[in-house]
Amino acid sequence: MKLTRSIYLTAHNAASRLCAQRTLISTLAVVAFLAVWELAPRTGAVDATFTSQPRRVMAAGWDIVTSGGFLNDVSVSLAEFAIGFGLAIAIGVPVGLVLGRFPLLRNILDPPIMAIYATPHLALLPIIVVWLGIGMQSKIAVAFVGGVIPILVNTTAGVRGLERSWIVAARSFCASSWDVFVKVILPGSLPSMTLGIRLGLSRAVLGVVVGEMYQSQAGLGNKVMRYGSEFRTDYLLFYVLLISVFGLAATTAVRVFEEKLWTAGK
Amino acid sequence: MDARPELEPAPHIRVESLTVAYEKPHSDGKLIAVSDANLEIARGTFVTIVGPSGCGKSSLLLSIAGLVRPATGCVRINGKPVSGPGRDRAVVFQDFALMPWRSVIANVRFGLELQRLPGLTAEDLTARAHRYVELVGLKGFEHYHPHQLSGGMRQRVGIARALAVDPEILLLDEPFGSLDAQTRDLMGSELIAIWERNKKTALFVTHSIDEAIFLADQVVVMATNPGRITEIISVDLPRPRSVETMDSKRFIEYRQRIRERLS
Repeated sequence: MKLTRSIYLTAHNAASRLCAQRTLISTLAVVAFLAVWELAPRTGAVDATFTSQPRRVMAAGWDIVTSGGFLNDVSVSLAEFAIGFGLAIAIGVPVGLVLGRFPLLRNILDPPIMAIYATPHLALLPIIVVWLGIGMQSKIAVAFVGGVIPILVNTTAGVRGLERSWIVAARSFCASSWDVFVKVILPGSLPSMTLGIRLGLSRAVLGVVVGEMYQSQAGLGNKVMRYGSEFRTDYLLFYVLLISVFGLAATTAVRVFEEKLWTAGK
Repeated sequence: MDARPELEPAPHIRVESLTVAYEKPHSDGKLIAVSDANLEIARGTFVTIVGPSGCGKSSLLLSIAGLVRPATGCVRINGKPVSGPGRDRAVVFQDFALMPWRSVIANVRFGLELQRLPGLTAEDLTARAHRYVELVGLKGFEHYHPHQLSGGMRQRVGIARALAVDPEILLLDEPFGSLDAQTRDLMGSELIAIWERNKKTALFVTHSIDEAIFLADQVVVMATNPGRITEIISVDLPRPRSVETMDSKRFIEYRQRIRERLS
């Protein structure tokens, strides 16, 4: 038994070495990319008007951050995302759990849900703007519609994919329905639930940004659209980078949260 | 309680003309899993049920567990009819049925948490879980998760989880069915060693004739189509038993007798 444990430990060390190696390679790749991006226009191979350069994007970023209005754009977009996506979780998870447990309800609601899932949610944008106007409400609605369906569908799939034997084992120890829900269904479907949340997250970010690009008064998407039409590639790219960094950070946060919950193992 | 003479104590478990039927998928018919089974199990005995697949041996065990509702007849424990799972029984499952998100210690705690025994704090439960993890020989593996364990180790967790709630009756549904032959023999010997310490009433389902004889005070032989009890054989072999027991003349006689019954 000691031997088995030391094998696990060795494997663990090897894994962490591999991880360090991967980090190094990814960092080098990013640095190489930035170098090529910076140097290519200088050789005349590409036109900096179209591609800009890291240096110029940084300068544009400094200009944007120091001049007024930046914080307003950020907070508008963030609020739209937070409210829309928060509602998507608050509704998608419980409805998904219920649909996973009740086949009858699932049979009734499956066709409309699948229809919405198959529809690109951005195609609903024009009608949502007609209903809710060009303010924050329409962006919240698009983020919600984009986020809620993958959360709901994956949560349902998670509940349906639970091993029946886990529930039987719980019942054999006199578990009530509530016990089964808290101790088996909820933790057991957590992986698919958080998968749905990650998928929904990118769709909600997309909804906010594209919604703002389509019709809005403020927000990051609003600025992307404006600088795009003004052909100011460096300003445009700064906003794009900001959005992708946010998306990455939020996705990572969900993953870390998931691992914490999973290994907490209660 | 009744006028039964003192010499003949009431059985711990009594199965009375039990029939278990399942709805057949995609048709109106019913599948008779167990037909008119009668069985009495005395307190503190180790009873094994052996038979081919589809003979209803698991269905019989799960009705005693209260996890399957009989079509007719009933199961009585200490004279009281079974209407569902109870604190007096614990089940060990063939596919282990461990929660993959729980560590070994948390899996062993699972049943204890659900049974909400009065007067026990969270620390008491953990301490008790630790005792049973040690009992099944998994000390040092408390914080491993099931996917990091071998099949034999997983079933040790399953056995510890069942024993931890201190049931009167231990119900084991082909617990070693998915283990390799060597692990299986080892687990059988260890199970019997644990059982001999406190002699809980144990009911053990298997399709291995040798395992059935080796463990049992009584072997219940079942046949298929419809699933029914064909014979109940008392195994009169001295305990503690060991690997040599399996080579003894009487063991071989029992094996022949059961094999004839099954064929």
